[in-house]
This record gives sequence, structure tokens and C-alpha cells, in this order.
Amino acid sequence: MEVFLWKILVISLAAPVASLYEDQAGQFDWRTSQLGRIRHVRFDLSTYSSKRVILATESNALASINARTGQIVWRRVLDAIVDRLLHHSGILVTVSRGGSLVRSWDPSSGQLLWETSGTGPSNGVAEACLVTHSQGRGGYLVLVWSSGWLRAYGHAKGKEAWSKDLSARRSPRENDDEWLLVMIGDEDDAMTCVVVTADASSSVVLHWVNVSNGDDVRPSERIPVVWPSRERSRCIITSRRYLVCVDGQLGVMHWLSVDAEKPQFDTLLLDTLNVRLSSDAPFSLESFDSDFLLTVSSTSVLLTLDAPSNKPTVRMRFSPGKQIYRGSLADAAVLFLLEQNQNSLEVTGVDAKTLEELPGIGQSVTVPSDLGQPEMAHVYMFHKKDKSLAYRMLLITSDDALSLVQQNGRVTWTREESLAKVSSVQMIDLPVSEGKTYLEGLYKDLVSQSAGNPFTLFAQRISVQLAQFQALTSSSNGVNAAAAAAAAAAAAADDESLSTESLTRDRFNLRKLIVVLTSVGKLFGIDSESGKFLWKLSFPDLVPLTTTEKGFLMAVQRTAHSHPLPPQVVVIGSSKSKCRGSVLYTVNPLTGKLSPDEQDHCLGYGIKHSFLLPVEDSHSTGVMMLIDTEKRAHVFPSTESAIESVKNHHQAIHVHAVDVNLSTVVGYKAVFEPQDSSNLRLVDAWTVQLPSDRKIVGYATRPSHERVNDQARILGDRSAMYKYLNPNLIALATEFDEEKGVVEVLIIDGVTGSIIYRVKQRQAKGPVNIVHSENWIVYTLWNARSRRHEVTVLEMFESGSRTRNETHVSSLDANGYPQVLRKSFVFPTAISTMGVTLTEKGITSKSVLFGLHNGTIFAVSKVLLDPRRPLVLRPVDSEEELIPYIPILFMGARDFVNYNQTVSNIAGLVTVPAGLESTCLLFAYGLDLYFTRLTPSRKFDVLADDFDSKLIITVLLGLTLAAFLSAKLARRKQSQSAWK
Amino acid sequence: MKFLVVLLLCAFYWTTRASKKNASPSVAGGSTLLQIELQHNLGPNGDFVPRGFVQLKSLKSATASFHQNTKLSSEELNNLKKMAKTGDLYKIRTNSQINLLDDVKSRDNHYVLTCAKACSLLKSGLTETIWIHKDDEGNIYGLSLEIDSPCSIYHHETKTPNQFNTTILIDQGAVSMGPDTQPFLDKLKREQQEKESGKDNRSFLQKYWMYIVPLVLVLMMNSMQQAGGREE
Repeated sequence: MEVFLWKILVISLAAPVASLYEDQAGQFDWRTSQLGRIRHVRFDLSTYSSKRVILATESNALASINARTGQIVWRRVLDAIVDRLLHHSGILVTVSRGGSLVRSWDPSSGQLLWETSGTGPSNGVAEACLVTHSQGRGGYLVLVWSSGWLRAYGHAKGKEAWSKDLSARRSPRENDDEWLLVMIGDEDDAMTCVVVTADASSSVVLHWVNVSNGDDVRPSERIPVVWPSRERSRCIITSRRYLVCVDGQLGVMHWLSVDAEKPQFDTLLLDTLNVRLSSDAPFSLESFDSDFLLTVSSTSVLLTLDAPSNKPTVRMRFSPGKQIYRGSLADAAVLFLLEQNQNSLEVTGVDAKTLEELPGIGQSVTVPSDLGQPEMAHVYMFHKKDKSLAYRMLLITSDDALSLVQQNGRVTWTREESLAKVSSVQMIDLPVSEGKTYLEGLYKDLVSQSAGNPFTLFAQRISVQLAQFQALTSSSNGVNAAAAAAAAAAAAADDESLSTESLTRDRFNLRKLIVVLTSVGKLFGIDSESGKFLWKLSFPDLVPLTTTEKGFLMAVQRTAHSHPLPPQVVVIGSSKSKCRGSVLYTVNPLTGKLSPDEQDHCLGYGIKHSFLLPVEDSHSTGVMMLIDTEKRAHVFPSTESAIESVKNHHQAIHVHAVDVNLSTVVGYKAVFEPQDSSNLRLVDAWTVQLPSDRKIVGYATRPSHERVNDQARILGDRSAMYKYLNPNLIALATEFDEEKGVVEVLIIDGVTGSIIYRVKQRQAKGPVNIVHSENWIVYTLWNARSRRHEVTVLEMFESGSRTRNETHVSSLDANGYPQVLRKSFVFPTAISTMGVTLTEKGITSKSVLFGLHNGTIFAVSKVLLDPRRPLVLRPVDSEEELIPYIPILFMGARDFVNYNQTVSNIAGLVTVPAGLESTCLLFAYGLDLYFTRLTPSRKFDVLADDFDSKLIITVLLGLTLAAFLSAKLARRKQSQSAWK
Repeated sequence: MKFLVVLLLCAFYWTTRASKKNASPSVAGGSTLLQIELQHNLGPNGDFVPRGFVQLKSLKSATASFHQNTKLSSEELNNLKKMAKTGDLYKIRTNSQINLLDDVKSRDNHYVLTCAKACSLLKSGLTETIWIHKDDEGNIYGLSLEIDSPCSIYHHETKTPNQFNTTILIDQGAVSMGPDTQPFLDKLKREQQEKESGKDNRSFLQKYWMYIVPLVLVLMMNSMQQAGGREE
């Protein structure tokens, strides 16, 4: 009955989901912006203070950040990755799509100044450079090499100055693809630019091109060279105009002087320089002014080539593990030697000319323990006031973090760019506060001591209640203090001031701990209130699993609800080096520390699937079943009690695995060996085999903790349609990518493998998104015939007049097939990802969340996505409050959850219920992270902000008072009239 | 001519019937009968043994019939009872592709598999419904085994038959055409037409008399008052 009343209330309130008032923006939501793994770094000297860094990343972002704070000044998310970034005093040019897309930007504001596109094919290697153009007004030309063509664009307007087809000059018998080695535009000799191209196997061609008009300065030269493999060859040009190539396959070095009358390659075996380069070792070749640096598997050698000897000589050998970077300022050049020690980074500075160590440069930088190995460093050098050399160093580490190191031996700031690629997210309840647990403990004491004589019991009760009262008053003071502390922490805006001490659950459980695992295997604990990091944890030995789609597996084994025991999160991945097979880490998500009781993370076998079973061991830890690549099952934790609890429930344990490569879904049942009762085994229970040309593109199950309160839908004529609430359903979307394409959606029972429903749409293509909640499934696809995005909803009801009031549902008992209703809608724009709101008791109406391609999140009430919406509204339908069917889902401005806080490249939506029934918490991730509260049926259980409780209390008190007074007066009047 | 066709059809019918009687899949009348071999896990140690086959008229036909190879041996029945007692699953499987001819082995030998409780099967007296989920190209996506006798553990009851009573149903899947735009447009057009046909053809006075009459009355009253005033 209560539920029914709630339902009436909820239905009457079912309305737009997410609109909020202007002054509420940023109250409950936050967004953090990332850039992605850094590819290009340029120190921006154009602005007066020269405190900016321009970055281009693998997530297609181009941004300028403040070098002092690491904050983003501006950011542009592009449609293509930046192949080359050119930057020189107020000019910023990006080259994308193999040189066919050239864009110029204003470095101070990020405005697009000009772009050229559509010239030539978009594949192939792009190379570009900025050259001075002396005949003009001191302007610059952007030279771009793109699939055989060399083009020059004016830097101001992007007008093509000239273009030149260099590919046509090769002899017709060679039809290997041509590739570009190096291109230089030299400052001294501004008029001539040397372009070096090479064939895949046999020769190198030098072109001398006049920069101002594109004419040949001298005829191009074809120089034969033995060139076994393109992938294993590196070439550079030094500032003395030597072309140096290292062939990693044969271990030889070729070089020639570009300015020679008759250029000819000289060749030297690297062994003669005492450099061992085996045929598969990774190596790199970098130009350091007149010198060049050859690094073979972490050992570097600085070499030089000079005119008189015309032979490469070794200038310096560095000890293994040292990384060498170069910084220069005017005519001073410094080699920076980096070496990672235990918790510090040793920096040594060596003068590039004299090779003597510079005293003011060397320092030991204390590095946070969560930072990975340095992978790249960019040094910006400047003069201090006393004319001494100083530097800042941007450090890119193996965990995709970008940090700034200053000369004070400290990491000034760190940007966690791995958060641009989130692998897995868990939102965890915080533990209740000390005071509350104390109160609960006291109550428990009272209950446990209830045996005894009445007097002592009474005395105990009084004392306990006194203690409770004390605890309450102190905790209310504590709450105020905590609020003040939180405000102070927010004001301080320092991550470290947020200690884990204040990590307690608030009254309505609105504050959660977001545990984010990124694709580089770094784990973050984020406070959902502020978006600040509570802790960071990196696993140096963790690499993604190759056996699963997601790379890493993460599960919450223990929540904060089992009080004295800390919550526990499990992270599974492959081991980089330490051990064979997979590694498993258990982490306390409140502190971000590894669980102390477990030393060996090696499992000794490779994991293919992991399942969190709905059983717990004696320590209320969720038991996990790990399936290895040999299809053996393992129980984790492998304690007696865990195995015992699995054994007690093994009849009910059914798991399934989707194999995308084989297009199969296989269901397994856990079986204990009769002879060896501790040995868990999986047997195939069912198999669904899709035709081999089908690709599984979407997969959805019901959220594991979803509660459904309405078992039925009440129709207009007061009859009921019972929902088909099978908790074991798997929704599978498959795509057949031939000609016009077919998208087929299957609903499979996860215990018996019965295909409950199957629907296919012809001339349809992905990307397919699919969600499953309650008794319905929503999926999206691209209709290739009508060229539009479509959303289809499938809703399952018990067929016939079958009513099922049992609380126990088993897929193994005959259930009959449900009646599946289906309706499609046109969706106005492209969809990247989907989610569904989730509330604690499942009373609030649901909304389907669409993460759109443009970064907005759009919430559609399930009332609109209803397959029962009739084309023509009958009186019975309007009684049921059905909305007439309109084939388009309109996007109202109020249904956009994240107003202007768009999440670029949105990749996932995670929802968890809050303690308030009306509220659902949403965490969206992509290039940005976004968190907000959703109220799908508005705040029906929250008093409005403008609710005037004071007025109501005064009115009530006044009325009571008036009632008393008037009663008294009336009595007096009565007695007076009686005396008359 | 027509007669000839009818005759041919009759001949075809008889030959197919004859082949059915023989219960052997064979080329009949130039057209092939499709057969799907079913296996179940009633062999020793739960191995799969042939159970029978399902006959289909064509790849697109929506009906099929089941033919049991031989009656269940007592050994197999005992296995089934043993499984029912331990609460194990009775499983059936078949190739994931329908072979056109018997001797053509499918290249990739994938099976589709489904299960039900063994005790349910016994309780129902081997009465069951098997769904075959397939498409027009002859790919079998999966099987479903439906037995309408819920049970948890098997108790010895009446004598179980050794012959399956199987209903075969074919599921070809539904086809979605996307949003129902056409009916909606038709509805809009209809409404437009209704609006137009229901257009008011009444005259100006007929439509607006309720405004005109009071106005006239007021005017009349006014003029009467004025007239009365003058008389005074």
C-alpha cells in the first residue's frame, strides 16, 4: 500500500529530469579537464611572462597550460590527432591527417586563425617545418610534406605560396612507397631547404628547394644505399648539415654531408664504435645540435661528426639507465642527465660543448611515489636575475602524468593525464562516522546485555542513554567542526589537506568515493564532493590483460557496510615482468594502500574472466571466481570459509562469458569434483553460437543491485500487466557488417541459454549502445537507409494472464516466453554511450541517459521511451497517463544534465544510488570527468530550499496560543453570563 | 497444364511422406530434407549421445518435427534418474549449422547447447518443447528447452516412458523496421483532413450570435434610456 502511494506520488511528479537553476550550477556538480597522453610540448615564449606551455596529445587535444600551476588556459579538442606541432614566436601550426589538414592557431587564446584541408590523400607520413621567407616581409612559411607533395603556406593567412610534386621525380620502375626522412629549413641559409626522401629499399633522394618560390636550387641527387627495413631505420640531420642514418637491422650507420659536391654515403659498423645494436633491440637517434645521441636499450652514446675527419666519433658514453635531454638558451646548451632512484630523480647538468658538469644545475628531486618512470623530459632554460642559468623541466612519466620540476628539488605540480583514458570505475559508499558507529555499538551493547535483573537493566539503560546523549551532543558539535574543516579544506584547495579522517558518510549518503582505474594501470581515489584526489596509487608491474576486452578487471569485494573491517577493492591485470600470468592486488579504497595481509600478488595463471559471486566469506568479503585461460576456476580469497560458502551455494552459481572473437556466449555452472571436494570446476551449461560473420558489439545485464518495486503496470482499465523480471537476462547486440549491414539484438537467459527474444533490423549499422534495466532494454543504432540515429526500446511482460507473486524466481523452472513490446524512435544526434539512473529503493521513475557525441549528457524519462505509447490516444490510455506516440525524441533544453559542462569524447556513464530515494549520482568520463546528482522524479523527498519552516512554526505556535486564550476567554465569558 | 502441376505436386507430397515414414533423411523428389541432429548427455559419464533428429522442409520453413532414433535404453533412463537425484542438468546440443547433406561435415564444428533440470524432464514424463532459434541462412543461434513441470528434486513416481514427447518450435526472430513514421504521418494527415472537413460553414451571424445579441441589447437599453431621459 505504501509503495502504491509512493508510486502515485512519483507518477504525478514524473517530469523533466535534470533542469537546475542558474545559481545551482556548480553546487552539486564538478568537472575536471584532462588533455590525454602528451605527444608534443612547446614552451610558449610569445606571451610577455613566458609562463605557458603548449601541448598536443594523443587524445586529439591541443592546449595551452599555465606553467606555474598546470592549469589549462585554453583547450581545443580536435577531430584528428596532431602529427606535427610547429611553434615559433606567436605562430602555432598543427599538421594532421598525414599533412592534408594544416591549421594555424593563436597561441594566446586558442582561436583558429586559418586552416587548409582537402589537399591530397590523408594517409602517409606528414612532415612539416617553419622556415623564414626572406624575400617577403620577414614572414614565415609553413612547409608541409604530404604524400609526395611539398607545399608552402604563408603563416599569416594560410595562402598556398607554392607546391611541388617531388614524388614524380622517381624513376618509374621503383613503385615502392616513398617516405620522408627529414626536412630542414636552415636559419643561416634561409633560401634553401633540403628535403630528403627515401624509397623503401634502395635509395635516398636529396632535393634542394628554394623556399621562396619552390624552385630547385640544384638538381636533386639519388644516392643508393642498402636499406633493409623502414621500421628499423632512423635518420636525422645535424646542425652541421650531416645526414645520419642508423640501420637497426644490420647495426650500421650511414652518413653524408648534405652540402658536398657529390654527396655519397659513408658506412660504418656500429660495433667499431663499441655500440652493440642487436637486430631487435629498441633504439633511438636524436639530433643534439652538431652532435647526435644514439640510445640503444637505455644506454646512450653522444656522437659527433665533423668536417675534417668526416667520421663519427664518440664524445661521451653514459652509464646505462641515464636518460639524456637537451636544453639550450641563446648559445649555451646543456645536456640534462636524468636517473631515477628509489624515491628521487637525480638530475645532472653537463655543458654540451665542454662536457663538463655544471655545478648549478645538478639536483636531486624528490618524486611522489605514485609517479611512474620518466619517459620524456622537456627543458626550458632561462637566465635568473643574477644572470645564472636556471631551468624548468616538464617531465612525462610512464603513468602518463605530466609534472613540472623546478630547481628547488620539488615537483611543483602534476597533471594526471591518464585520467583521459578511464578503464574502470567503482563508486564506493563511505563508512559511517565515528560517532554514529559509537551509537550503534552502544545499542548493540544494550541488546546483548538484556539478560539480567530488571533493576540493573534499568540502570544500564539509563547509563547507555546518557552516553548516547553525550555522544550525540559531541557529535553535533563534531559535525559543525567537520563542516568548518571541510570548508577550510575547500578554500585551501590543496589535495593534501583532505585527510582520510574526514571521509565519513553524510546523512543522505550523497558523498561517495570514486575509485578510477586508468588504462595505464594507475588507481585514483576521488572525492565525489569536490573532485579532488584523495590518493593515487600506481602499480608499476601492472599491464592490461590481453585476454579480455577491458584490459583490467576491478571489483568491490567488501563495502564500507561491514564496519570494523575496511572496504576492499580488487584490481586484476597482467604482470609486466615480475611473475608469470596475472597479478591481483587488493586495495583499501579509503586509504589507497595495498592490503597488508597479502604479500604475493602473483597468481601463477592467466585470468580470462572474473566474477564476483553473490556469496561472502566469514570476513564478509565478496568471493570472486577467477577463470584462467585453461578454463579452470579458482576461488579468491582462497580461504576455507570462502570455499565453504561457494560450496554451499554452488548449485545456484551460474556464470557466463561473452567471447567477441568467436562470437559465442557460453554459460557455465560451478561443480565441485566428487572425489576432491575442494576442487572447483566449471562445466558448460549452455552455448549460444552466432554466425561467424557476426560481431558482438554490445552487451548489457541488469545492474547488480537494482531493486524493482512495481511488479506490474496498472492499465487504464484497472487490470495489470506483470513485468517479466528475470534477473538473469543478458542483452546482446550483434552487427553484421556486410553491404548494407544488419543489427540484431538478442535477449538470452543467463542460466539456461534460452534465447528469449531476437529482433533484427536491416540496413542498420553501429555504433550500437545497449542498456538493460528492470524489464526493458534500450538500444541505439544508425539507420543506414534513412540516414538517422534511432533508439529502440524493448519491454518484456509476462505473457497471457500469468501472475507470479513468488519472491523466488528460477530460470530453470519453466517461465514461458515473455511478451516483448517494441517501439523505435528517431534520435536527433549521434550517441557515444548510454546509462540508466539507479535509485536506492527503485521507486523513483527511471531515466535513460545518453552521452552524446558533442559531450552533453541527455536524460530521457522512461515514460517517453515507452513501447506502449499509442498512436491514437484512447480514453483508457489517457487514464493510464500514456503519452501519444511521436516518432521523434525531442531534445528539450532542460533535459541536458550537464548544461555547458560538456564531457569531451564521452566514453562512459556510471550511476549509483544515493541515500535519498529521489537522487541518483552520475559520474561521466571521457577526456573530462564530470559528476552530478540526478533527480529523475524531482526532489519529491526533499523540502524545497524556500520552504519557510520558521513561519510555519510561528503560525502553529500562534494558533495554539490563540486556541488556548480563546478557550479561556470563552470559559470566563460563560461563567460571567451564568452569574448574571 | 494445370493438371500436370497438380500431379507433380501430389507426387512430391507422396515421396516426401514416404521418406518420412522411413524416418531417414534422404533426397526426395529432387528436393532435400534438412535434418538437425540432436544429442543429449545421457551417455556414460554424462557424455553426449545421439538422441534423434529434427526434420525441416526448407531453410525458411517455420515448422519441424522430431524423430527419436531409438527408444531410450534402460541405461540412459537410469542415467537420467541419477542426474535428477543429484540435481544435475539435462543438456541437449546440436551443430550450429544446418547441414544440407548428411555426409557434409560442417567445417567449424561448433555446438549450441542448452539445459534444463533433469528432474523436471522426468516429472513431465519426457514431455518438452524445444525451440530452435535459427536464421534463413541455416545458422542455429541457440536452443531452448522448455519443460512445464517445476521441481527441485526427483522423487520416485510413476513409470517413466522411454519415448520423448517433443514439440519442436522454430524461432526466426522478429524484424524491426525502425520508427513508425508512416502511420504517424498518416495520422497527422488524417487529423488535418478532419480539421478541414469539419470546417465551420456557418454564417457570420450563426457563429457569433452570442457576442452580437448582448451588444445589441446593451445598445438598445442605452438608446431606450436616452429616449426615456428625453421624455422626462
